Amino acid sequence: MTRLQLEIALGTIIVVVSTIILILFGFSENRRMARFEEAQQAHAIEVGWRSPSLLALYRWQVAKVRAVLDSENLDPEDIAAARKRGALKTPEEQIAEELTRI
Amino acid sequence: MIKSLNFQDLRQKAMEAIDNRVRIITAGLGLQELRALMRGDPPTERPNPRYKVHTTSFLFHIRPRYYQRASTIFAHTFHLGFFTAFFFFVETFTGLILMVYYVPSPEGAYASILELMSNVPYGQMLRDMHRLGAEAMVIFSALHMLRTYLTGSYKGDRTFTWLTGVGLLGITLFLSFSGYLLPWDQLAYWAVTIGTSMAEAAPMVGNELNLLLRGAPDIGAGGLLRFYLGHVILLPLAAILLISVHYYKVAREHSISLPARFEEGNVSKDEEKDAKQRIDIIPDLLTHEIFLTVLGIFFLVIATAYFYHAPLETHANPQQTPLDTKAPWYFWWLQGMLKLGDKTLMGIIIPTIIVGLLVAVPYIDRNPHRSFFKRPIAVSLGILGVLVLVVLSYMGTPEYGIATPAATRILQDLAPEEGTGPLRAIPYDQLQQGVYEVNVTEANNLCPGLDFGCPELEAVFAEYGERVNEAMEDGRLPDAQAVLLIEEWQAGLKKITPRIVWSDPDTGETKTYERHIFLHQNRVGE
Repeated sequence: MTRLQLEIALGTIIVVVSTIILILFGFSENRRMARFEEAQQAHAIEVGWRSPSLLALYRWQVAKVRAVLDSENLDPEDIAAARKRGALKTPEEQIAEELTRI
Repeated sequence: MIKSLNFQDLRQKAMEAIDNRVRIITAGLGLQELRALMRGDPPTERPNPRYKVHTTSFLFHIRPRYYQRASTIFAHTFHLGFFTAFFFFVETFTGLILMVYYVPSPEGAYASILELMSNVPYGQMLRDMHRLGAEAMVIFSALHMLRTYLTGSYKGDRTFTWLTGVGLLGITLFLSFSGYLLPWDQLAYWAVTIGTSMAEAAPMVGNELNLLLRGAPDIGAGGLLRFYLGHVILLPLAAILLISVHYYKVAREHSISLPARFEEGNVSKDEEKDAKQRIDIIPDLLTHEIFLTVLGIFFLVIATAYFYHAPLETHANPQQTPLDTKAPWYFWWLQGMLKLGDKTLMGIIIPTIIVGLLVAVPYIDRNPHRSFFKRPIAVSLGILGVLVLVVLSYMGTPEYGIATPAATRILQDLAPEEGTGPLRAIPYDQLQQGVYEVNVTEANNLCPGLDFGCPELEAVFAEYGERVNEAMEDGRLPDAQAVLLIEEWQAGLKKITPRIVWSDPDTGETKTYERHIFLHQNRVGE
């Protein structure tokens, strides 16, 4: 076997192995992402409500909720109704709630 | 009519049509030729169609047709230039995807990183690859330059290539440095604050230079945007331009240097003939390069899937300077120099002289030889330079020349302000509520109520005790008393307070230093 053939054979095996690793890694991505979000919330509680991390976390979560609402084409009245029910809070309201909880 | 159709003719015509299509795609290589390539056989046609690719293909026209055998020896180049270019492509590819998610504003930057890591499949891996690739690119480009220096490959026709290499090393450092700020966490913010503060030392234009970099007296929205634009547009464009010139000089003008013994004729005629034998790019070196690329990607995948994660600390907070703040590791040498004397002299004048010397290396070194042993002064100076850089880098770390009070040091090592540290690494279940006093509480049986005990809490408490006793013995913490309080603060949240009380050796006053650490049961690592 020449060096060229060895490199082609070995290279092909490595590509297959890398692909398998990436696919297996992908299977645990949902769990990892959920765990990361949970850990970030835990971290924000650990460092305290004054921390910019917590503010960033709230901004980020509110942005996510807004994105979901936008994607569902809810009209402003529905959003107002959701706020009234307490289903959607402003960052300030969420911080105030967190404060009372702590 | 059907009878007149010959199957053989049809087959031949179909094969010819396919062959023609393949030749268009491969810039001249037919099916037979491709088969021969894969088998490692010699060319099947005359003139050699493998050379034709270099004139007809856009991607191959900048590549040379062949290299001389000795220049491809692994131990001569270690493929350091190849891997530097490889990591540049990795950075470009991963960086382009990261740009889709990144928001370059102080309000949005950190949140966009959180979004990437928690809502984008493979997002964390992408970020890890980008960060690891950046560190690797700095290491490989520095090693490439060192190898070029030690083998004297900057002499003669290669002088200009060396100059472009020095420029590329600088661009690589600043590419990495400008990307450092983008996550907008404490590590990024303060590392870049320290890095840019060095510019303040420049005579006459220090303040202006600082303002130019930061966009304001302190790093804020303007600074972040400047670093982002520099990172994604200005510096990559400069890098592409210089890489093109650098590669063109190597590929088209003077080729990769041969080991000195071959270029200086210190070998027999046969050996020289063998060393200068042609190794064609297609297929030998191309296959080798593809193999190395695959290998590089494989290591990146393994490293980021199982071993390496890019750091992300708490959100940047300009009001709170963390202890042990330091510049990125490749600028530690500069931070080390600043500890030695005047800011302008050590931070600007001497580094400028060093860069000037690096640029002028081919003009200063007039020794015609390239051999390691025939250039004792140049090689010794090179090795000495590396050693000085290593020592200065150590001096740039917080471990050197920064006097931290003993109690602060002990608690910082146990539970650093940023990052994990041994105390935060204790599993939540082992954090048993109680008051543990150094030299009073037995360190080996802190949790008799737990079936499996709390070995990690015991190890940390033992280390805490040792450090306090050491400081007490050498007089830094006279009459010290140290406790570790663990309280149940709320459901799923514990408060840990390591506290040290001691008598001030000068005034005799009682002093106290403590830290409050909150650990949540869902924190990272649990």
